[in-house]
Amino acid sequence: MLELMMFLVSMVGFLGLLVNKDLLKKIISLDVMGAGVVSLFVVISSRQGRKVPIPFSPETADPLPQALIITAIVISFATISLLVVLSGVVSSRTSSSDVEKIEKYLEGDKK
Amino acid sequence: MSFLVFNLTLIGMGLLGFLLEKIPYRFFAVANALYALYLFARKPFFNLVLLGRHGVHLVLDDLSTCFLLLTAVVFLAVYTTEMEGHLPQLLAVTLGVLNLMFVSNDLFNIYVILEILSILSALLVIEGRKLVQYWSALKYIVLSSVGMNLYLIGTAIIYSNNATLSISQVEKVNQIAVGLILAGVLVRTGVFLFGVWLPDVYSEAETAVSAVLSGVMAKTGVYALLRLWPLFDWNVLKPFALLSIPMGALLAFFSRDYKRILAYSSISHLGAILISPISAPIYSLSHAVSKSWLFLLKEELPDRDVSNWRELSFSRWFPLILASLSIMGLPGLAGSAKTLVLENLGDFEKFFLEASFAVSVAPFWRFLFKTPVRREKLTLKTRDIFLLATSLAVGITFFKAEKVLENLLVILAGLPIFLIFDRYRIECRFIEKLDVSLSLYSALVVIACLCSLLY
Repeated sequence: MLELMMFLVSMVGFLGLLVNKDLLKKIISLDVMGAGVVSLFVVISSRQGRKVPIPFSPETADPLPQALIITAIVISFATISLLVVLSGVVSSRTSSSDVEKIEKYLEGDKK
Repeated sequence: MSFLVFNLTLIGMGLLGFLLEKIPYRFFAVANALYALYLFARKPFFNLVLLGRHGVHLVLDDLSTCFLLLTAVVFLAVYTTEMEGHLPQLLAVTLGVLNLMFVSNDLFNIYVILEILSILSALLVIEGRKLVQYWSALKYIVLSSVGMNLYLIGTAIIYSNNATLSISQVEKVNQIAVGLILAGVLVRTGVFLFGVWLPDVYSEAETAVSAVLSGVMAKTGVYALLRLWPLFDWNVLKPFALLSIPMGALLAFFSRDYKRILAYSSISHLGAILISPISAPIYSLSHAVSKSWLFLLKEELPDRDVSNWRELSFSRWFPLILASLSIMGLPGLAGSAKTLVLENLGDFEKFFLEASFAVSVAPFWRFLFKTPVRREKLTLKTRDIFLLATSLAVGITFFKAEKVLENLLVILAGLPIFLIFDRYRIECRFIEKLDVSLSLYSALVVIACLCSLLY
């Protein structure tokens, strides 16, 4: 049940990515999607039990998904910050943060 | 073990290059090529399993050596060109990461390295500091990180069913999870409709970067798919591949921009790579050699618009013709590996593929029809000689006498197509917009899941 909810959270993030026209909102939606995935891994790791896995015993949480997701968090942090930098450069050069306006500006730039 | 140490050294030297100046990266590229050749010839294979049966799994086998060789060839060719800014350092880091990619055999390792590569390729693309480059890098990162998030969801489902990440130990396969994983990886390969970010990124990036991106970076997705093959039926990919070959070829034919032609034709060739898992490594190698050669030649050509080339000097014209012939599949050169793709296919599929190959050859006839100025002495660069030698080596290794006629027919069939439709020019940039590509992608994810459920 909880798994399904976390899956839905990430799908809401995806939906936000489709619906929003503003670059910053798009990036935040992407972050929401990532957060959903992270929580999904946490839910999966708590299947065996919810105690802290130090020292490890069969009733404690599964430490492997948590170890994996810490890597994924770091990576998605790097991706998001790179995206923020890129969108900062783009919106300062085109003086707009709206996706459609930026694409129009770029088309005008080519001609 | 020495393999891991070597690649970590490469990454370290690349990072060090941001602090120190003038580290001789060319020697590293040469060392890497020699090392890859050694791995290819002596086959010191390893099979490392870390963390017991939870599985962090590294494998070096025939498949890996093929891709390692491909990487080494492309990077050696790229490092012969003059590069500005931080490109040499970034490319050294990329080389190390790519080598590590081609030995990983578990779901999570593949995820980590694909993400690192997408960050690195975005950094490589914006090296020219142009607005278009920033925008195309942004589109690329958004699409690929959505894909990677879907991939992670799939991985989570598979892990919760099997308690392992190593692909060889997965027993219970959930088809929806596999569909999500495929959708995540396919967006990295750049097959048609998944890869709408591709033409912009390839055509706007600096020349050396485009060569690396189309030569090696696109093949990381192919490698991941080949490793994931035990989890799914290869027929799932066939509709995407069959759609991608003619569409990429048509878009390439109706474009006039040199780099865009190459980018669209990459889409078409990626489709051909994904037709069958058996021919995929070899055809990747052949495509990487010819396509990165064509991209590297762009530096010496007069203009990006092909129709503006009046007269090319002979020493520019000659390598262009060789590279075009190589990608068109003249018997004896690398592109002739095309015939391997056509083996073991049904009659209808075979005919369809040959027709689309003829279309994909057509844009390169345009280069063959350019006239050179005669008066000059021919000088070939080391890069051209090296790439010609590799192309010949690949072509001769997979040379089959009975396929010569077939190859020549496909090439000749491109000529009438070129002559008849040459005056038309169509640009289809609509699907490359960020919002359109995202909504297309969301539809494709559903289609990929359905395909995976049906087979």
